[in-house]
Amino acid sequence: MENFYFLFEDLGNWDVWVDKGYSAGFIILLTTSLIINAIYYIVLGRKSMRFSTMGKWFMFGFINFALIFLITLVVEGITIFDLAFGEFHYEIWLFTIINAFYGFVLYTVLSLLFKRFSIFSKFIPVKF
Amino acid sequence: MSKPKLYLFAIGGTGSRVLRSLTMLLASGVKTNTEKIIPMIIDTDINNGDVEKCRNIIKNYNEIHNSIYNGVREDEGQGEFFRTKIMPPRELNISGTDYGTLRDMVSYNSLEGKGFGKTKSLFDLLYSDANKDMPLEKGFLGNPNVGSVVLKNVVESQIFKEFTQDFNQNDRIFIVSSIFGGTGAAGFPLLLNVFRDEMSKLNNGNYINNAIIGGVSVLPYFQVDVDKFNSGESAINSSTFITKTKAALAYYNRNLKQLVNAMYYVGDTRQSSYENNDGGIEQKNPSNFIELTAASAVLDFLDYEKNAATKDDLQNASKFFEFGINTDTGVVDLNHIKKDDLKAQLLHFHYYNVYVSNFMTAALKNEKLAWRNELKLANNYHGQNFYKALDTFTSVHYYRWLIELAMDQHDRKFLPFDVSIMINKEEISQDVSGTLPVNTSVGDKKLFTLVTGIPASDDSNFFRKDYIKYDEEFSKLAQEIVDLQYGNTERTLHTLLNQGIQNIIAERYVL
Repeated sequence: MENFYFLFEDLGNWDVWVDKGYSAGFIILLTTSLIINAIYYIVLGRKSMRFSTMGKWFMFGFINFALIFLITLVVEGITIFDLAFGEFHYEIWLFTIINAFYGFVLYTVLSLLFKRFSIFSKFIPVKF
Repeated sequence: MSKPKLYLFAIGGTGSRVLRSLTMLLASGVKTNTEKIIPMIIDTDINNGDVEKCRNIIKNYNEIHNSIYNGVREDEGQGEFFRTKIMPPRELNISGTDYGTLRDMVSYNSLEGKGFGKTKSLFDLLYSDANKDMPLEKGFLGNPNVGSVVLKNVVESQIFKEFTQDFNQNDRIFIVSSIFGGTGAAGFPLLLNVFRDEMSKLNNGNYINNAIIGGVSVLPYFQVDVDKFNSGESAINSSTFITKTKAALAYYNRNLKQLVNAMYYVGDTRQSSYENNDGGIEQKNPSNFIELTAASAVLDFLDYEKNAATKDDLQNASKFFEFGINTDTGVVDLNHIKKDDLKAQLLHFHYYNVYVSNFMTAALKNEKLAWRNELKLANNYHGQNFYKALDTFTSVHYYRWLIELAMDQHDRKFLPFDVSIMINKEEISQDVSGTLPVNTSVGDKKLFTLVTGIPASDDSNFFRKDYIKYDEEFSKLAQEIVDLQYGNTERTLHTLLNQGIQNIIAERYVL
């Protein structure tokens, strides 16, 4: 998993990241992106055309980004590293930001798979 | 037995205007029991504005019909917009300009010669000097006695011969004419006599003699400005319309009732007021509700004893019909139409036209729109001929027709739909060329109140606003329609529009 997060390295807590931190981040990343894609393409994309625009697609991408950011921050900070609320840990913030950006990339990739299950958003973000 | 062809003789200005309304009804998708309609226009006034309008609308209709239905089986797509085939009008126009006056046409001066004294006297008895010297280039201006001589030439024309050659055993003939004018009043009895003359040497004479023939005779429904007649500017005097009608009806009763199998009479005591133009390009009378009822008579005739191939198969040799409405109202709307299928088709067609004129261009330009992509429409589809033809039919012909039917000069207007969406009505009413497109403006809210007196069901509540969503409906259906694999983009698109609009109307209206 450390290879997947090659942009991030925290030598001081290497064991914790390898043991739980990376996998927790990845599960958050994958689960959130899958859920957001399912909501966008399967739930809303088959019900109404209201969300079938590039603007709305970016909006859901941002929601995915924000959710991953928040969940990762909370889970890594409180559950994995057992920090107190308000305590600052630079590496966790950095990992959270990287995970959120990964989230947007994964949302885009999953969109290409999920779009075929939609009626109204079948040609978003790209037409093929 | 295959469906019959209908040869539709549209005589004079009224004939062309009825044909125009019929084209609108056919565009709306009313089901017809015919393989195709072949309009035969008879008018000596070749520059008549009404005829020109009629030509243009049928040309536009055909562009659309041919793009969609070329090669499609007759029984497929019944009830869809533009389904019935209308052939380009065959014009049996004998140009009055070629004849000059009646005096020139019959070589009156040669009657001065020896041996023609009695003929000349009879001719003088039947025709006044004014009749003899009347220029024929603008029709017969309310003088059927002149028309009955001149129109005889129609039967000799090449186009009439072609019609007789093409005529098949179970084909039908329908004649549209006014009874109170010149061309129509003269043409109707003349044609009937020709068709029923057992001694005639027409091609396929036997088929034509035995064909089922119907006719609609339009009784007076408008009057023209009398001042122009009094000042000599126009030869048309509408104060004689009723007298002429009575005389003609008496003649029909004595001589024609045994020749025609289904005769329809339409007319109105609530009359429209028109400008007094005696023919030519200026004669462009607005469409009238009576013309629409006359057009509906054509459809009724096609359904009349459907299985009868010749007049001998009919249960009644002659039958007479009149059109009536329950309430004597100055504004007729869809609630006054008894035929549910006609009402439904007009409603569907209106919603279709509103989509074409207000939303379709944006939809065709929207690269992310599902239905457009499912149909694999080209990026420039909105600039291609098919879409242009649809848009022209809607904005130049359909909306103009609606505006004309609702004009104040009609004492009985036909106002099925809200014409306030048409924002350049003034310009349209002054446009003589008939080519100016009608501009419309329809907001989301307006879509619920397009039909006069029948609002669409609206599920809006405090938390949620309801919308009529054309594109959403089309997108839902797109995959299913594409799977039908028509192999013709226009047919696929047209089917999608038809079914989508059907779903919208079924959801929003109880008819």
